[in-house]
This record gives sequence, C-alpha cells and structure tokens, in this order.
Amino acid sequence: MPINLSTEQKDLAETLDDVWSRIAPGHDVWPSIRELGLTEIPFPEATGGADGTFRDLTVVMTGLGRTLGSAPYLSSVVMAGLALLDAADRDTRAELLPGIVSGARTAALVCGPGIVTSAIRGEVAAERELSLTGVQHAVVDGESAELLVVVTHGPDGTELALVEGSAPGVRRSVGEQLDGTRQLATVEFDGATARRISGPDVASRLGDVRSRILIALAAEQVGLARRCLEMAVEYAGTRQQFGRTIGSFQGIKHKLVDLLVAIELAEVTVLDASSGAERGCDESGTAEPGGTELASRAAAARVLASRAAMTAAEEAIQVHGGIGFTWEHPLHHYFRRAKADQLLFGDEYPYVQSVGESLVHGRGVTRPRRVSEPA
Amino acid sequence: MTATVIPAETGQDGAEDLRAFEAASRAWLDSRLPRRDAAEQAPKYSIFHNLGHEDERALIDGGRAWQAERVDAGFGAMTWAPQWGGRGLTASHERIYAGVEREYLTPERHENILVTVELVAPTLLELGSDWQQERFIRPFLRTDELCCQLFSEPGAGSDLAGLSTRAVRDGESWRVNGQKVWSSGAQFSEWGLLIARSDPAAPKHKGMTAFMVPMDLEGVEVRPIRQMSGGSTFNEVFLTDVVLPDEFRVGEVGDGWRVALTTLGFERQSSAGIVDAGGNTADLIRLATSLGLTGAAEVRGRIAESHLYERAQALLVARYAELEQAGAVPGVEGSIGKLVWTQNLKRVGDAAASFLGHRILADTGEADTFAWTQHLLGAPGYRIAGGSDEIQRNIIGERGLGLPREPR
Ligand SMILES: Cc1cc2nc3c(=O)[nH]c(=O)nc-3n(C[C@H](O)[C@H](O)[C@H](O)COP(=O)(O)OP(=O)(O)OC[C@H]3O[C@@H](n4cnc5c(N)ncnc54)[C@H](O)[C@@H]3O)c2cc1C
Repeated sequence: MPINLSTEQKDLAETLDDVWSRIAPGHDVWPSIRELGLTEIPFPEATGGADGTFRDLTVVMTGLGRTLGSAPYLSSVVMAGLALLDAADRDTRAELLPGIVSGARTAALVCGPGIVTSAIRGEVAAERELSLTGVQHAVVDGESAELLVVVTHGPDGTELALVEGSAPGVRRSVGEQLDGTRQLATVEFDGATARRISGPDVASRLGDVRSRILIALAAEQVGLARRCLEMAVEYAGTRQQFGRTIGSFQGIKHKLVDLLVAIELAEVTVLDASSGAERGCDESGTAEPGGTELASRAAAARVLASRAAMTAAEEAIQVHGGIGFTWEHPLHHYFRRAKADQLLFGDEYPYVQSVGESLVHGRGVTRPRRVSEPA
Repeated sequence: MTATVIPAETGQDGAEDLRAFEAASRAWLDSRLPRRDAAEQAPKYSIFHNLGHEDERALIDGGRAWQAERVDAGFGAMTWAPQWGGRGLTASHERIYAGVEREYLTPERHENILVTVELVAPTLLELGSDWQQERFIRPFLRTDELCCQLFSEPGAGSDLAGLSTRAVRDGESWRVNGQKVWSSGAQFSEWGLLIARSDPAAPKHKGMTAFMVPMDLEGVEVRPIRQMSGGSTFNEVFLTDVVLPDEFRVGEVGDGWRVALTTLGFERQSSAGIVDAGGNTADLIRLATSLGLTGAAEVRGRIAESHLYERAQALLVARYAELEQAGAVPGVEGSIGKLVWTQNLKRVGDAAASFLGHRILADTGEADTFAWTQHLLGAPGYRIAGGSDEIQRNIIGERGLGLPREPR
C-alpha cells in the first residue's frame, strides 16, 4: 500500500479544510460532520456505513486536530463505535450501530486510560445483566453521550456493558478541565443495571480497538501540530524586531525546522500505522486481529505524534511571544488539547517501553526498510 | 513543503513488471553472492574507514569491481538511459533492487564510489559538455575511474562561495593555484571536480568556474589528513600552477556556483538514504543482549527510541521516493532526510556507549564491544559533511518553510 494519501483522501482533507478553516477552536462541527456523512466512514455497509478505510477516518481526525472543531467523533465514532463493531455481540451490533453510524445517536466508551482496563466493576445481576459500580474520570464526552459503552471488570474478567446515560444509578458530571474544547466527564455508577454485550474474545478484540483509537488520536495530534507550525511560520514571517523579520533569526528558524522534522516523522508513522489498521472484524464477526504488529505500529504513532504535537503547541507559543500567551489567541487551546491528548491514554513512556519490550523479546522486530540508494 | 503531485499510472502491469524485476534481481544476485544471513559475518560498526592506505585501496577496488559487474548486468545504473549503459528504469525498480541486494553479502561501498556514481556522474549529465559526457559518464558509472569533490577550502566551508582558489585563463587553457581541504578519497581518485574563482571582481557567487582535474597532473599534491575516527578518508589538496585545457571546464565560465549547487543537491539526496553506515537498532539489541542488560527499563527505552526513529526515517525516505515517483518536484526532502539520519546515528552511538560503559573506554579484548568506538567517533563527521546541521536547517527553513533569508 502506498504511504501517501490517495487522491480521494487528499480531496477529503482539502474539503474539510475548506469547511472548517475559519472556525474557532471549540466550535461545534457535529452538524457538518453528519452532513458530510463522516460518521459512516469506518462502518460496513450492512450497518448503514460507508465501508471506508481506516485511513479515511484518520483524515477526518487530522482535520479535527487542525481546527479543534468540537464533535463527539473520537468518542462516538472511533471509541464506542469501533468497540461495538469489533467487540460487541452480533445482536447488539445490529441494534445499535445504525444509530451511531448515522450520527443520530451518540455513545461514549467508559474506560480507563488503558482503554482495555477500567475502574468499573460489573457484578452479574442476571444472565444478560450486570450491575455496575465505580467511578471513571476523564471519559470522553461522557456527560453528553446518550449511550454508555462500559469496559468493566467482573468475575468473568473483562466485559463490555451497555447502559443509557439517563438510567438510574448513573451520575455524570463535568467540572473544570484543562482542555475546554473536548468534554471529559466523570461518570459514576452506583448499582446501575447494564446489558452484557461482550462478543466472543472480547478482551483481545478490545486490544485491537485500542490500537485503532491510538492511531486515530495520533492523526489528530499530527493535524494539531501542523496547524501550530503553520501559525508560527506565518507569524515569524511578518513580525519585525531589531529591524529584521524574526523568522530570519536562526534561533526561531531552526526551532521551526526542528518542529517540521518532528512532524514529518510523526506523520509518516501515522500514515504507516493507519494502513495496517483496517477493521479487524468482518460482517460474520470473524476476527482478523492485528495483534502485536498493529499494537507496535500504534505505539510508534502514539509516541512520535504526542511529541510532535506537544512541542509544536509549546514552541508556537514561544515564537508568538506575549500575544501567544493571551486568552484571545487560539494557541492556548492547541496547547491544552496537545497536553490532554498526550495524557488521555497514558503518557508516552509506557508506549516507548512496550516497543522496547517487544524488540528485546524478538517480537515485532520489523527491520525497517533500508534504502541505501538515492531516492 | 508543498509539492505538486501528478499521480503516476499504477496499473496492474506496473505491479507485475516490478514483481518480475524483483525475481530477476534475486536470480542474478543468487548466482553471484552468498546470502547475508547465511554468511559468517563480523559485525561492522564503523562509519568512516579506519584502515591503512593499502587496505583502504583494496576495499575500494573490491567495491569498484562489484559496481562494474552490477552495471554490466543491468543492475548498477538502471535508471540511466541505455546510452550510458543503463536501462531507463524507474526509482521504484532501483529501490526494489536495493532492498533485494541487502539480503546478500555485497562488497562494501566506499564513499568515494558514492561520490563518483551518485554525485559527479549525474552532475555531468546535467551540466557537462557532450565530450565530457562521452568521456566520463560511463567510466564513472562503472567506477573504472573515480572522482572526488574539490570544493571546500580552509577559508570556505559552509560559505562555499567564499572560496579563493584561482583559475586564470591563458588562451585555450587555465592555470590553477590554491588549496582545497577535506577532499574525501582524493588519494584514490583519478579525477577531481574542482570549483575555482575565475573572476575575483565579480560578486562571489558569480565569479566561479568548475573543472575536471586529473589528479595525477603536475602541480596537484594530495596529503591525507587523519580524522578523529582514526583513518584518513579525507585530504588536503594543493594546486600549484596546474594547467588545465579548456575542454575540462564544466559549464560556462562563471557558472561554477550552479555546478556546486547541482552536486550538493545530489549529495543531500544521497546521504539522506545512506543508512547502512555504522551500527543500528538490531546491533543495539544484540549488544544489550550479550551484555545481559535487556532487563533494564532504561536500556529497553533507548533501544525503542532508536528503533522508532530508524523506522520513521526509513518510512520517510520511502515516502519521499514515492512522491517523487508521482511527479513531485524535489524540495528540501534531502536536507530533512540528512538531519534525521545523522540524528539517529548519534542516537545509536550514544545508546551503545551507555550500554558499554567502561568497555568503550578501554578495550577489554572482548569481541564486538570496543569496536563501537568506530561508530561513536564517526557520527560527528556526517553532521558536518555535505553541509552542517545549521546549514541544513537554514535550507529547510528558507526553501521549505518559506521563512525570510538570513542576512548574507
Ligand atoms: C567527513 C567529511 C568529509 C568531507 N568530504 C568533503 C569532500 O569530499 N569534498 C569537499 O569539498 N568537502 C568535504 N567536506 C567538507 C564539508 O563540506 C565542510 O566541512 C562543511 O561544509 C563545513 O565547513 P567547515 O568545515 O569550513 O566549517 P565552518 O563552515 O567553518 O562551520 C563551523 C561551524 O559554524 C557553523 N556555521 C557556519 N555558517 C553558519 C551559518 N550561516 N549559520 C549558522 N551556523 C553556521 C557551522 O554549522 C559549524 O557548526 C567533508 C567534511 C567532512 C567532515
């Protein structure tokens, strides 16, 4: 598969840029997402989906990262949607996916920072029922989602459960948060009754879903980083000090080049990871797990994209000087989002370690293609 | 870094053709060389050679013989036109061949061969006279003759246009006087591509002219310089009343800067891809395993870091090649690639040194340990050669990001 985006994918990226380029961070773009049918991308036709590629999905995430448009896209389409598609039982998928695919309903995935783990306990209440207890913080769109897809731990191990957000025994709240453009809610369960919806092999399927979520988020981080770099380059090309444009000072120029290099590395890693992340589960429910290869590509994307985004947001503020530190300037939203993205599913250190571990244990040592001839 | 991309035809036929080509490459290599994994192979960590003169010459001769064999079989200059002994194939073919060749134990490729084949030959194709192309290109592609780069001077490195070696016209010939430095492979080369100042009154970028110089000519003296890594790959070259016929002039009088930029462009492109120098992540893993260090989180972290960037770099080079193949005009990809590559060389060297501790301070006699000094001490060289980090960043900032030029 080519590393670069296809012509259609480039067109989609440009369309999104046209539609969203003038909006302010935090602006609600959900209506335009539904209008453009973007919620349908990763789902099979049988559920009303567009049967798009995972690559297409990352193009949307990149666009959202560039603009910081607000929408329950990560939460409902990527997190809950893919968890339902890949890890839920067949009946639940048939019943729930169409609403999520069309964007008519939204769902949130209640899980811990590890995605396959959570602080929620599920006691078996009846054959198809769990009684949920526990508190989970920083649930993406946890207050606004209609449906909660919950990763729980019970006597039978990891399970997937479903509960309406308005059900008795569910308490949801949003307090102050670092990043104001994406809702991170606290969700509490106090004996709430939920439906058991685990499909076969739920734990390993959730592992693959987790890899996809990380890659999608990494795509957002790359979009965010590129936009920060663009803002900084634009500013450095006009702002004058000491009788010179500040972009002609190497202290500034080289800083921006280092950002570009970090973004190039992150982007190509995300592109590579996204081409290995097609849906893991076909219509009959047969799994094609990506396993350790997908996990290690996701980890690589996670690490390089987190670094690129955080440094870009941080250094773009520096390049802007005082104006960059003002509330009015959009950069602080980028900084906030970059920090939130960096920490949402655990910071990068464990991912670096996971890559190192699989390398020293001889798993997933895909020796990179070496090119010694000039390109 | 926006490049206009014209999508290439990638029909079924193209893919089939590439598969057939890969099979043909493998069949040919099978008949020539042992496979790398099957061969008993001493690991090699050196980035620059640290050999005596005769040993280095022998290594170069081995590389030359292999290059000639490749070219003759159609695998050495495959993107070149048949006129030059090539097959007019695409960069994809070249990449596929390179990938397959890596599975085999090939004779080592010395920098001098790279300079001749990948920098000078294409420069002559672009800017050389008909006579020069006829005279030099094929012998250079086959490395029957080698050519070094006589650009840098004691007073002109990063600011190459500041050079002061003089070329004075004298009827149908030129008289050259001056001193070059850091000339890699000058002691093994039959030819040198020289940039000299032909018009001191003109603005510095306009008053230079390029020449092909026979290195055995009267008045050319080569003195090897010892590098911090031990060997003497590079040299000082003294030019005293060297007389060159005008037919050795490359390009127009006063057009030397263009010749230099053309060669440097090929150099950045080429060094972005040289990832076979020194140790790599696989070597780091072997080292950590043999030292019993893989249980340490810090060690695993450093291995992972090296792997992440090594892999990303390989992907980046492949991505740029793909874009170029699709018709994108090359921009600053070479400079980005070079920075990324040398940063990773440094990352690998630092990691190895930290794993080795005392063993890299003093040779304990164990195999595969102190040898890493060859990587550690070589890496700084490539951050300077072909344009320092700062110069690459200036290029990327100004041409890639469109930032204002620094005062010059
Ligand atoms: C291993 C090796 C092989 C080489 N092979 C060849 C060869 O075959 N032929 C050949 O002609 N040359 C060769 N060179 C020379 C190489 O191109 C020069 O060394 C290089 O361009 C730097 O020039 P310099 O050594 O004069 O350093 P200087 O230009 O004096 O640079 C010294 C320092 O100043 C910095 N600096 C300079 N200008 C600027 C600026 N504008 N902004 C910010 N910082 C700046 C540099 O980045 C560097 O850190 C080789 C060099 C090495 C190390």
